Amino acid sequence: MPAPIQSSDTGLDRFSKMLPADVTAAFISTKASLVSAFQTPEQQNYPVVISFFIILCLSPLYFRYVTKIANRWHRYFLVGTSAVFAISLANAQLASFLIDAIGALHIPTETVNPTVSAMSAILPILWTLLISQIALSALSDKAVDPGAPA
Amino acid sequence: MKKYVILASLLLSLCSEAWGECVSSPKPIEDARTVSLGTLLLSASGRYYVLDPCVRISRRQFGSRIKLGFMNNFEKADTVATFYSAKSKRALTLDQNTHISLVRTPGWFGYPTTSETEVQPVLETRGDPFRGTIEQWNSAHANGSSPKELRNIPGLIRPWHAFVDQGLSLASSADPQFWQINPADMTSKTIVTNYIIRFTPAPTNTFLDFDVYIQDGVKSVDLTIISQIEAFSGSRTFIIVP
Repeated sequence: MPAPIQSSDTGLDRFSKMLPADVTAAFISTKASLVSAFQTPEQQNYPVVISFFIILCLSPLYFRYVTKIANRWHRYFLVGTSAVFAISLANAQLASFLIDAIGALHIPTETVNPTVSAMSAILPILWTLLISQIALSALSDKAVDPGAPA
Repeated sequence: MKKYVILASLLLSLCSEAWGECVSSPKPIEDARTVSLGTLLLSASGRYYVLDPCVRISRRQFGSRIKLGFMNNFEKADTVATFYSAKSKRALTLDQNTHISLVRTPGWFGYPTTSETEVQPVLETRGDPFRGTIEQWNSAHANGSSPKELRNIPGLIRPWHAFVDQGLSLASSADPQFWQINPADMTSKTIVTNYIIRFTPAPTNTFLDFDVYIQDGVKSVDLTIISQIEAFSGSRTFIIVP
């Protein structure tokens, strides 16, 4: 569970607090439940993607009121990280959903599959290894909650 | 605000005009074992995709040979073999010498070209060209002939129609209407490939597939499938994009 970043935290502590393991775990279990509830893969796309958006909308409130992260930069980053992990975990459902959604606008969708596949493969690596580190350095001072309990 | 709505509507209608109705792509699925029986799948790079009635297939993404087929996920194993037939009509950009080609998966039984003896296992065929005319093909298939009578159609390299088992219970020529080719649909740039795919229904989750070549020059593919298993029958259109 991500906790508020404190000024006394080491680099590793700060980094671990940038990864929202609890929200990711919630999405993984929701997805597993939906996949077993909707047995055919064609029916799973919409429930999984809708649950992704619901969790994404709820996560700022969760970070604010449950994990008590007062710093908004930290919260924004955690929401972004949740989204990146969710795209990677449900790339098939997301691609199918986007093909339907974009197709409904009569726009060709042949670039959706390669784009989502590339994003789901590259984004988590980039995010964890590079963007988190950059964000940590850039926002380190901003993300510290001065009033957080030690 | 109003002008943005008008602009968006205009753009949408332009897109609609420009791309027509065929804008969908193959949709990836996580687990092909659980698809409904009779869902036509495309397999590429270890992943399976479901297909809308009309899809755009990117050659860059899927290559010049696409694997299509059905998952053998019947509830119970059957001891009796069956088959499904497919007919793909490919429109190309250049004139073609061959207009009909023939594909047969392994496991069939057929008569040799000349011998009158019993049926025997026959080899698979991977695109034998039919060198006769469309009229010859159609007239041979006009009156429900059996594989024995169809083995010597002028233009056939080797017998193609066959039986699913040695007991001659089910022949690939069983539906003569399906094998008819409408000459009006054919141009000098069209190739029809006929497929017969033999299988034994079972919950094995094996892929009962056939290949369709979408090499450079192929613009579109119209695919029709029939089978005694009603869920397998249907048709699809593929628009091939680079």
